[in-house]
Amino acid sequence: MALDEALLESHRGFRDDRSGIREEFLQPTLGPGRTVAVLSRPQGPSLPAGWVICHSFGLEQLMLHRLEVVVARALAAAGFPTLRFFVQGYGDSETRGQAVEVSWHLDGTMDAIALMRDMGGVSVVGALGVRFGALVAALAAERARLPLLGLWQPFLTGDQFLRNFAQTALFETMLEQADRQGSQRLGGLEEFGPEGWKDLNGLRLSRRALDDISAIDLRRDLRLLEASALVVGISRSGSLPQEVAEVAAHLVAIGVDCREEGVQDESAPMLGQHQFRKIGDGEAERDIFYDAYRAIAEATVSWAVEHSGPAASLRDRSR
Amino acid sequence: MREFPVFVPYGREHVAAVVTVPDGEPHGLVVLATGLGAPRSHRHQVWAVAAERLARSSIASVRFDYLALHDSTGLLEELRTPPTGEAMAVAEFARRATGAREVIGVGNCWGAHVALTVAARMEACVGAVCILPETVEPGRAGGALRSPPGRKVAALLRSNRRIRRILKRLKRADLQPSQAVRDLLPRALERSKVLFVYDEEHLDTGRREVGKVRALLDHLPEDVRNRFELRLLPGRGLARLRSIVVQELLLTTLLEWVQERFHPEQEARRVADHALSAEATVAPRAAR
Repeated sequence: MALDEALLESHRGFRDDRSGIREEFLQPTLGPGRTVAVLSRPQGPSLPAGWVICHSFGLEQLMLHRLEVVVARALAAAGFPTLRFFVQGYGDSETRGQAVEVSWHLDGTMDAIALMRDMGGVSVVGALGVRFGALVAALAAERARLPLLGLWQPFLTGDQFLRNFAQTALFETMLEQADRQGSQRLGGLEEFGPEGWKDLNGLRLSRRALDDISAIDLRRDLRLLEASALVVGISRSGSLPQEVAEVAAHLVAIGVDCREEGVQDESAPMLGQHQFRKIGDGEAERDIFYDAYRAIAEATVSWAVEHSGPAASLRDRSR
Repeated sequence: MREFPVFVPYGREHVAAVVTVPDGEPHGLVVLATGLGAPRSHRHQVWAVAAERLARSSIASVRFDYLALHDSTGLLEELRTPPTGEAMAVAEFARRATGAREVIGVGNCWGAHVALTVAARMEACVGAVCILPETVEPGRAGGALRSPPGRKVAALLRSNRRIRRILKRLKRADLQPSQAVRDLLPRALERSKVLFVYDEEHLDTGRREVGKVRALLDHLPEDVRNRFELRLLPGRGLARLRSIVVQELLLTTLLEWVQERFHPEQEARRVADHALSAEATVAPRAAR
């Protein structure tokens, strides 16, 4: 029997009448290679504002992936075309088993923005991102002069992100001893082999990536941004965590119209880590961010509808 | 090699999957399943890399996201049993699309259960690779302690340190092969070879668990029993693919084993080589 290409091609997408959306797998070249992206759209006419979602770094990409999916589908249900994609070195991208470069995140996002701009009916593009993805979304918004920017649990600097990232990695491998012996700044992440990368719990982490992340500082890197922004922070108390509040303050200081949203969730400190917890003696597993992801999606859609300018007015006219 | 991302219909939902096909006709199809939480490409893209290497050996593969996770549709706050239904749907779809005659299931943790299910239920399946499979479950006593009234008793017993220690030992003794192993493994072995893979970190648990599995296998006819194989990978970190070394060891083991199933002449060569080396040395094979 031969390959049934028609069968495969006919299953690239689906329509879901319950939510009123359709989704389609794309295989565009974004950054230095071909990758897999998913375009979520409403079944009816789309609003003229389209969204690109930027994922986080390392294993966080897969830990936070469902948040991107939940938000993308909520935005599509509200009328917005939304694109999520794998940066090279992640998921189904063609670059596999290599140390990820920060430039792949940025170049991939810039190409994804261009792809979204080229889509029929899209006149305004906004960027969204979580944790490290929020840093990427902000840098891309600055470069591409985007008028809309949504940041979930963002950091102000790459160093802040790396410290948090390193804490999780070190906790996981019980490398406190290495931490005590030196390299206090980033908890041992700076120690590299001669090949220029280290094996961090199975992740190839390169010196260059570490340096490039460290070099990110939104206080210096965001200057020209003229946008409406949403900053969502998730915490046990429901108030914005300090790093998140600093990002919001900086955006306001440079003249960005910024909305702050706090999401209260007991599991907040675990954001970016394994999201399933055993119940009882392990007879079931519970998604600890099930409610929080929906709360973030709701806040994002509500802000997007309000701030997408022409998009919002079109929506109002259609009611 | 070509890759086709698809949404496979399953009831009202859609399972996100990627079908990888080699250039030319495939010698077989591998269904790659993950543990709970990992995406179809797996942690550190290990299944995406596996798909690429399998394709280089003229073997097609399909990797997928469980329902309500990653790109698949569905809403579930709690997951209770390994989702085998959608895995079977994906396997059937990929077999139809690729035209592959034979199938092998591969998976870790929940995915190991999926691999065993594919081997037990799919006529075309010739093998299953189960990485750190969950092979035991509480017996009668443990089951009773898991019931709602039993939980209260268990909590009371756990509050005393000495009783807690005794309870732990009793729990261990009470373990029995899981229903999946009891039901699926014998059926899978009727026509398929089954490989269980452990690492040194899970050696202790693995031995205890495998003891239960061995006892179960002892009741099967010899020719069926002989289709079961266990390998121990050197090193640690297999559970979360926590080092690049263990990722590479797993990929090498997987590729070798799958190639032997789909290319029987390779297995014959390996058996011959093994026989020759056994004559030369008495040392056992490290990874078995």
